[in-house]
Amino acid sequence: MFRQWEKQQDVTSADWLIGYDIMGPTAKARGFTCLRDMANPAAQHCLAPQPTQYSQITPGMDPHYSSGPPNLAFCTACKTFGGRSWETIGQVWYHALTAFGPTPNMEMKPFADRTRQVAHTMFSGNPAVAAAVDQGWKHVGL
Amino acid sequence: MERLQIERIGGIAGFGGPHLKSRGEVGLSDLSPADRQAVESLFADPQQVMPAQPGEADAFRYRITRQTAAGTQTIEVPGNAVPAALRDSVRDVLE
Repeated sequence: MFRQWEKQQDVTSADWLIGYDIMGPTAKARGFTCLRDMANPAAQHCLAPQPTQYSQITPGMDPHYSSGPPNLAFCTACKTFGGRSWETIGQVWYHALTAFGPTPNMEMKPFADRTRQVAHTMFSGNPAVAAAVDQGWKHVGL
Repeated sequence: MERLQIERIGGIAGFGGPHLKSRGEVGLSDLSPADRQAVESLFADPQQVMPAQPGEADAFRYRITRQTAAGTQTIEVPGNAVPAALRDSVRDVLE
């Protein structure tokens, strides 16, 4: 999202890739263009592909893999709502992460519900925000 | 000679996934007595080994495998508990 802000990209022109700028020549020659792709976590061009569905997450899974579904949920919510990620959906995520105190043991389902609640209360005059957040989580099975 | 297979997993890039691997091998007899004892302690009770900083993001873990008379034994422990001779044995590969 920070990179999108730097480049003033909207959600459709952004590439949603993580680590594209650290791919070495050997990885590129093999067709890997990034570590991860928030828009398509299981894509073949990912050096470290991730699950796309909440149901694929197993207990104790490395968070660098289990972050696939929430990455996709965020990306889907942003694309569903449109515009620039940091202006609306990003505000929801930031508020959900920073306004409730430390909750290091929070699991994914309660976090999804929290973003739904935050979207509803922060943007009560614009139900499309909560609908986009809900669509994002439903897309990954939550 | 008993061999130890070592695999480094985790980190920000997610070593241990389908493509990115980091593997090595050492002979137990090539280790110093102190390192051999450290390895024995790890296999004796790998659950007792705590990470240097619990909850640390992007930390590496090591999966160590050995063959014993009872069969193959594999443990997974935080990097801070693994002797340098084992940690330094791994090489990164793309598969």
